[in-house]
Amino acid sequence: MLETTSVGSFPKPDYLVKARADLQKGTLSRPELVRLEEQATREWIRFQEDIGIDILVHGEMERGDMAAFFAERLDGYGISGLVRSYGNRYYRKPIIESTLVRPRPLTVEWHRWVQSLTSRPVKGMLTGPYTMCDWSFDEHYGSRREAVLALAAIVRDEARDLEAAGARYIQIDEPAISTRPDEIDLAIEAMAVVTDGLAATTISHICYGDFATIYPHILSLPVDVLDLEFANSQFANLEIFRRPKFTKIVALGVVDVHSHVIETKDQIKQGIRRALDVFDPELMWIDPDCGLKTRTPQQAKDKMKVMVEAVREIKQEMNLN
Amino acid sequence: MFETTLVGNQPKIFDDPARPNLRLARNRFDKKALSAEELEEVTRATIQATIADQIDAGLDRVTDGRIRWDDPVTPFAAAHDGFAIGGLIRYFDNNVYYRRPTIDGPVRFVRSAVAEDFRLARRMTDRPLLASVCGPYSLAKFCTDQNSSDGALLTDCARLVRGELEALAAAGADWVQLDEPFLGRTPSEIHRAVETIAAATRNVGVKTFVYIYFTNIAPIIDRLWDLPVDAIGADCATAPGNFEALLHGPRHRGRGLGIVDARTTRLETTERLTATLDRLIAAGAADWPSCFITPSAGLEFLPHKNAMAKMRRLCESVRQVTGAVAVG
Repeated sequence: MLETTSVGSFPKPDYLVKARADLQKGTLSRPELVRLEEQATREWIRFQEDIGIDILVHGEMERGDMAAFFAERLDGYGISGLVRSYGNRYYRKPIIESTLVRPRPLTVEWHRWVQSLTSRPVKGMLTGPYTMCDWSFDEHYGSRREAVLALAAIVRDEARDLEAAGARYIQIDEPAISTRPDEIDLAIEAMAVVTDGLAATTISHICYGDFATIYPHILSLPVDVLDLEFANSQFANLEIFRRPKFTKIVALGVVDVHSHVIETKDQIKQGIRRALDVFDPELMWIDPDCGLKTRTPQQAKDKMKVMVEAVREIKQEMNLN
Repeated sequence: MFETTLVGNQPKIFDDPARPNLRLARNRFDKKALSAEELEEVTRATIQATIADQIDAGLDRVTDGRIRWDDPVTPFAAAHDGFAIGGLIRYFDNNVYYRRPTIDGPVRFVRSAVAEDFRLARRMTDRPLLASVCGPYSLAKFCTDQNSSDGALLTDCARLVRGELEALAAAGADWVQLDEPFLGRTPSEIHRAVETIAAATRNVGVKTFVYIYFTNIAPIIDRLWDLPVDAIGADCATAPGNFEALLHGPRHRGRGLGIVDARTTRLETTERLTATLDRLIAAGAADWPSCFITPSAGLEFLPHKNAMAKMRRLCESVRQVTGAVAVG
């Protein structure tokens, strides 16, 4: 009840940002970069433990863009030049150039290592097949359906390997799922391929879309938890979920990851109280709107701390401790 | 018969490190390591380079690449009264985001968001220019729930966009594109949408070109021909039916056909494009008052290299069917 978690990414500390640039320039070796990625990961795990987060994330210190990270590791993908995502932010959009193949498990070794750092559960983090397709250029498959289902088989294999490695929570992010309401059935079909037979608690994060166009259909997405952003809209989108009743666990985004302003404890508590009027408290988790990687490390920490404090007080007020 | 042009933005960054680096300049400006004047210098150099690219590719009519625009709506929301910039939301079915403005007071024209940039581009090239604005119906829709329809807001947005069109006419523009990506998404509102656009464009003193992308216009095309504008154009890649809808319209209406897919790196073959153009010729394109041949949307969805390849292929294909000599 009101478990705290994070969506996925944390900001990279300055030394890691510099190291990644140095690798590009050829002045740093890959083993040295990996050493620094491990250092940063340890720091974020320790931070989450210290503030009392219930379900941890590894922070994605070894990842850049959430689609490109997987594309770079799959056979059949190429990486394009830079395209803009918003404002002055750019990413390298992957290109499907031939039949996609997963040559080996992509995230399992890192997950196993991160889980060894803490006794608390750490989520296995994957990008979902619909979003991988939507955020790629496709020069190979004949249709979007063909590409999405090819990716679903790959993500399914990765999810099964994560579960075999001990992951109790597996998050399959589908932020693009709300972009084409007419394709929601395809996204649901693909997620069914991924989660079929998994015993782990499954989560899907969806954000910055028009939820009204996909609700309540989205309740058919075969995962246990839907992780949604609310702070970005000042919780106005809560009303969408009032009827029909929300039937899954909701991970409620309560801090805006695209604002440098740190929310006050009272603002977050007010948002949670409003959400308690819509969702069953036993089916609520609390987290930020999205990955915090676009904030500075200090802003991310401050947002996480105030979020945890707000949840603690709400629990006290509700005698939930 | 055919006039090649663009219908939106161009990539703001280049692969060649010797060319202007607006991304770096904006980052440095945000960190207060670059002055506003220095940022402006890089921005202007980027616009100049973008125009040069379009001329190099062979476009008949060029644009400023919307280099200052982060999206089609916030430049207008920032320049005029009545808007507050809100939270991030995805820009239709693209992995691109914009900050959705909210209406926080009466919407009123203050000063043109685009006329000064038109004058700047005019000084940079003798090639015909296509100016652009956010259309009034979509301006209102970008700012609110797309399913809502506020009559007063639509009226105010029409008045605001009319102000922009008049400012562009005064700046010397001969053609202005109105982006209307929301047209067709709610067919039941088409009557209200047409009224709104008409209020902005009727007898405004500059030729207007309504362009619709990411959606199917076939169910509303008959109403679109009623608009007091000089050309209707649509994205024919996302919705192939749009091509047929435009093909069979009245002979006396201008058209714009977005026949090169701006959202995939897969490059169209010349054979496919020339076959498409041949169909336009067979349908009587020579008799239409204007016929813009364009990408399906802004080319900023593509990396610069791919955007250039698309522009070149578009121009080559038109030259092939018309026998025109490259002017780039």
